[in-house]
Amino acid sequence: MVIRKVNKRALVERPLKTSQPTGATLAMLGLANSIPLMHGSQGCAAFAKVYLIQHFREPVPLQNTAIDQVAAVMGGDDNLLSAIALLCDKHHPDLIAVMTTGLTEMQGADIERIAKQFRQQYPQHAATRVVTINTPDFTGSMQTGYAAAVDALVRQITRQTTPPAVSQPTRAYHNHSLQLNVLASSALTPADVDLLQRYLDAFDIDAIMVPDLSQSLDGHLDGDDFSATSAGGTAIEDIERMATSAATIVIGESLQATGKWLQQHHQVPCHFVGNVMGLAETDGLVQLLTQLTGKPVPNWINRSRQRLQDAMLDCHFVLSQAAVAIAAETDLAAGYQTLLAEQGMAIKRIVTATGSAGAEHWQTDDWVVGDLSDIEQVLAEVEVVVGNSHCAALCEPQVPVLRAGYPCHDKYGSSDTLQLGYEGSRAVLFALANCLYKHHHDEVTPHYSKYRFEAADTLSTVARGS
Amino acid sequence: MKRSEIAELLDEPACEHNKGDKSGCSRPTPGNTAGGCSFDGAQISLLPIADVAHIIHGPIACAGNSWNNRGTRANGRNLFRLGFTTDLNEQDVIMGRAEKRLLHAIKEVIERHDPPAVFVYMTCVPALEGNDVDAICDLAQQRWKRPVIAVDAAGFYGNKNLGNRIAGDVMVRKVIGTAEPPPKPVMRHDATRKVHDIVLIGEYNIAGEFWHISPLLEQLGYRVLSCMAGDTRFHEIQTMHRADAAMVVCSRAQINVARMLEQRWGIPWFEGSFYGLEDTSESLRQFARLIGDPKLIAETEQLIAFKEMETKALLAPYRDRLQGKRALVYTGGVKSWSVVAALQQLDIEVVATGTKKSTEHDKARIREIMGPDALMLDEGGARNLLDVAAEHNADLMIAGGRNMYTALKAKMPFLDINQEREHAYAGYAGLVNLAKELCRTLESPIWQKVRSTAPWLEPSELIHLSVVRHQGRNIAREH
Repeated sequence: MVIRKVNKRALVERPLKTSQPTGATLAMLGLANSIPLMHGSQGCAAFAKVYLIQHFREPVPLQNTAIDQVAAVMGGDDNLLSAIALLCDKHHPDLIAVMTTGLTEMQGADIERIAKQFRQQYPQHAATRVVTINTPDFTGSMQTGYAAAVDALVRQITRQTTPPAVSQPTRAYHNHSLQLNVLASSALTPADVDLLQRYLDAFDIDAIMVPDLSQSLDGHLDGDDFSATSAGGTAIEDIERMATSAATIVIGESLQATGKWLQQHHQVPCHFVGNVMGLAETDGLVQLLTQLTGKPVPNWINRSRQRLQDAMLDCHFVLSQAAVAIAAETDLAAGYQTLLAEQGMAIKRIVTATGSAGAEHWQTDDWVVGDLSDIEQVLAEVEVVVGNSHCAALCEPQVPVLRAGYPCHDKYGSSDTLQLGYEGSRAVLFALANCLYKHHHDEVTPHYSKYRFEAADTLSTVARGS
Repeated sequence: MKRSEIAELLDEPACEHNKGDKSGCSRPTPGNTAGGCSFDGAQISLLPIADVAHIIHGPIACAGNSWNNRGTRANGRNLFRLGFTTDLNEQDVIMGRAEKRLLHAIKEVIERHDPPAVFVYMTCVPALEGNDVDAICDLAQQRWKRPVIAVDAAGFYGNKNLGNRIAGDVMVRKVIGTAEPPPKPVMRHDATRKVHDIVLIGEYNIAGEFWHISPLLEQLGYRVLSCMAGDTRFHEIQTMHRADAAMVVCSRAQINVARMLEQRWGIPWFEGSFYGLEDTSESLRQFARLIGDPKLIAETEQLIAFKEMETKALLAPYRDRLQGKRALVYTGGVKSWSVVAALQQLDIEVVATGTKKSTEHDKARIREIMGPDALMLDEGGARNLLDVAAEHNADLMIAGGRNMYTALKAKMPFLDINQEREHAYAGYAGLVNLAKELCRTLESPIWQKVRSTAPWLEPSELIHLSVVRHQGRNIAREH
């Protein structure tokens, strides 16, 4: 069992975490025609916006309620009300997600009440749904903010069903597609979600993916120019019908609570499949899909599995027993930990921003809830690190860093990073092996004997050019 | 090269494969070959002469497929890691412009890189065309006042071994003895004695492994005139004839060089290996014995005692982990018995070993080490190796890179021991490396995973779903 250490220093030098509203914003960008609205001062939103823009190199339609000095003291309810009304007027979004910040939580802003008040005052905007999310900056991290957003969304949008009347068991429905909820953790990149969708399509599953970043942040150009709302994502009507799904598949521990809530309140069975990284976890997902649908596993998935196995073989010469450290939020850290341990890497330390219940099963020497400075301490012991761009700035060029998590602003194509499933696991193994390869030092220090001599010291016994 | 010259090279008196019928090297069998050609052999034995410009005279296949792909390492100028080639094209071949092109290539390489010497390697196409590479080299040598040496080892002349031999022959005939080394300095640790000059033949410094040995030789007061060929330079090869003793390191590929050094300059030599504790120590002893300096002999024993003790301590943790594992060894160039002995020092049981390139003498040694029932494989081949491994419950295969993917596809732990490898296994420190790398592959948790079949290929229960009436439509629901 892994013992958690908590970095209790007063000073954080190189933060690994970032704020909850940033995570909530990210989640809301995976919903169709939505606008995340940060209830705080301008800066709260500006920082989060730049953070996500730098990572994805995509516009991020994040708004804020511009709490000024007066509103800070007197309360920002009017700011919030007028902000929602203005956004509805101008952009007619399907969803406005109101997220609190440190400032407005300190004030004790009751965003739920204001949302209700908005409903009463502005019946003309009934088409726009308003979701309220409590994401104070002073607790949690980006991942918990993301999870809070997904949770609030599901709880507030999913329609209550009448108690279901169970008829006799049947598999007749297999002739048409099976409706499933899929909760996708903040560890998943747009490319991961895209691949996950392909797995689901392979079993003809009608998946309600919450959220679906592959529709908005995958980096695409469409006919429209600037959009004030999210560029795409899961439709609000789909969220509404989540209570009628056959089951919920939860990816990432951080979203387990939401899955359980659906099970308790809507009797939708919940299946936790880890982070779908590595052979075993991906096997688990595919097996679940075939067991749920009764449909056979298509050949391309079998082939992908074989290709991962081959990659594991090829890379084991470099990766087995190679010392590694991971700095990431808990879901992502858990996923990498599973994959890397499966490959026989020696995980010297995992640094996370927050705690995790599942961490006791992690296969690591050491787990610290802290900041990137905690990576610095083990830097001399490791050959490669998995972490974000800040981590890279700390470790490189001494130790190579495989970019993962947020923010990764020192590279292009962050949305294309694939980590999930057989394909993603394979890509990660290759990337890690290449990191080590590129950083390869010859094993033996060159030796130049003190007795060696130079050409000028020799006496040529043949005439040159004869 | 004339047939008679090839026959002469095949008739190597020092080679035990040579039974007097001038067939020392077995002919490759069409449809069943695994090794490289003469050009390959010649190139790999000379390329590590690091400051020479090695020009491959031929179409792109010869250089394009092989340049800078070996693990050999060298100090200083690494000109050998560039892929100089005349890259003959169709027009060159049709119009007979290959020779002209070669002359220009030599000129360019000298102008651009100013190497102390240029080696020109003949390949199949210009050989068939009848290029007079010797004449071009002579012309170039006169014009640019530096050695330009033709290495006539076109691929179709024979196998890789013949190429090694041709390369050695060229060195003896054209390079060795063309310069005198500076006078012997006194030993750094003992001003009363002068250094002993030695040479190594067939040591390629793969992954820098000779650098495990070189400090020991320095410590004992040896001046290595040249290591042919690994981390060496042209002028060092030139002085090899002044050695007090020579060691043939890797198999018998260039045994002809040692024999000719002995015939022409009276240099005593021995065959040895730097793999494993005992062989490394034995090689150091052999040098001391051949030279006959009593102080050297005593110092060698001291060094060996210290190194062996140190290495055994370093090996202890790995031995516990490797104890009782079963290995199938199929080596290419390196001596099988040497590797077998090294593995036994790690408490690994060798179930079978390849002897394709081994002599009767080698086989006798193997029997000595492995017992009279030692299983020796004269034939490689993927199927055969895998069958033997399965039959004898081998835990891993130790072989050249060529067989690596064979072992891997059979989901079997593997250790690469050939020339392309990246790990240095020679000497005392090398044995510790070997143990470490063996643990790395054997202890990897992937084996169980890569052997696993997908769970859905086993019969499994469907998750039971029932139909639920919801807002007028049927929905499926687990129950």
